[in-house]
Amino acid sequence: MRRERTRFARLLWAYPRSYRERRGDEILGTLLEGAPDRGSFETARVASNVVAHGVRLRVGIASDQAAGRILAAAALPGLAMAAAVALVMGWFAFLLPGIRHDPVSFGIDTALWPIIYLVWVLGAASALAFPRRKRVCAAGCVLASVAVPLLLPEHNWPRLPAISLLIALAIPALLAPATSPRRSHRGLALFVGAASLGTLGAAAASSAQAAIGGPFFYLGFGTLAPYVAWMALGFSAALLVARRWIHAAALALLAVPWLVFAFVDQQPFGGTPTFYAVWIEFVCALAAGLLGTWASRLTRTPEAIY
Amino acid sequence: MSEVREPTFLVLVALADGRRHGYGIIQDVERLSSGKTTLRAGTLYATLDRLASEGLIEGAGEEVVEGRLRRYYQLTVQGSAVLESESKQRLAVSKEALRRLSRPRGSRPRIAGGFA
Repeated sequence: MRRERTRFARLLWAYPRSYRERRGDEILGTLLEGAPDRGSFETARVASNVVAHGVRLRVGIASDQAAGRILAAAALPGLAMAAAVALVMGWFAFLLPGIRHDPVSFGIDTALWPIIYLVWVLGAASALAFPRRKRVCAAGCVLASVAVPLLLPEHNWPRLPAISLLIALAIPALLAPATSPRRSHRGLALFVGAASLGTLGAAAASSAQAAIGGPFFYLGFGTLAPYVAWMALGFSAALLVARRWIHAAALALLAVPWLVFAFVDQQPFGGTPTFYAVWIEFVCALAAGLLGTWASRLTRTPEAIY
Repeated sequence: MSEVREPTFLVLVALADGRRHGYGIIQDVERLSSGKTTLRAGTLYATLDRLASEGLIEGAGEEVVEGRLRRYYQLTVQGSAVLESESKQRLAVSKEALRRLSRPRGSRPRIAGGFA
């Protein structure tokens, strides 16, 4: 029984701490009372049920509908994927200039991106760990993302290409605030999104000589990465403020084309890599926005859940 | 008040004749549904949270049995009213269904048209 108690108590870690403190002993008692009547299959189902509900509380998805369960299940892997993508892309950002490109020396251009992305990952992780402080975490992300480039010494910013990339990234950023259930959140999210876009726009204007550069591996991914990450961070923070975790998970999906183009040596569709990459990005961004809008119907604020 | 779905309805019925704790509700729901509905702990507490936030149930004391915490729940006045109304509605639909089924087959309305 002692072993079962430990095992069930471990399952409860899926719940936010505040909820665990309030309900943990009670749920544990219920789980232990039913333990003798359950076979191993049913025990596994109970365990997955408890974890799923815990995660749903963490991510703010209260619906009992099947779609709500799927979204909850997708949220954590999405975040894990984002972290993994950050790691891989950060790795390339560090190594690539020396390996594949003209001498872009290891320095601020390449170091900035992983720093910013790391800030985002930490912010997202802390928002997950402290659901009641999501807004603080998100605001911290945005401040850090804006402050880091500003505080760093003068540097040789890389070219910023592709207005279409900006548009593609802006679409879900603009959709996200509209899905927030609260007026005040909408305003804040809009502010955060606009600030991020404005910052990026200013950066773009300062390097307006670029026409179509390349957001991906082939055409200077290492040098463009800081801008993309900067944008992604602001975008993600806007989503977090809007309390749309599924947006954040969907954002992770946006990174898939980056990875695909990073690892595939030839363009599967022909044409210039950037052109197709931008359009894939566009489609993914649109899908993410629509998914988030749809998901907003299934979510409630943590205050309503607790 | 949101729509009362089957598991929620069964939880309310389980609490209709007095207070019950978590595992007591799970057992009673299974009995009431003849084993068709199995509430698991995660679902149960999500349902209890929702019902409590809607003011349909409330805490009714707690005790520790063999080192396990049991928290009891009971229907509020509003919860009893909702359960009564929901039950009457379901009863009316069930009665109507039985009445229609008990009619001789020939007198049942036919579907107009047909298949090509």
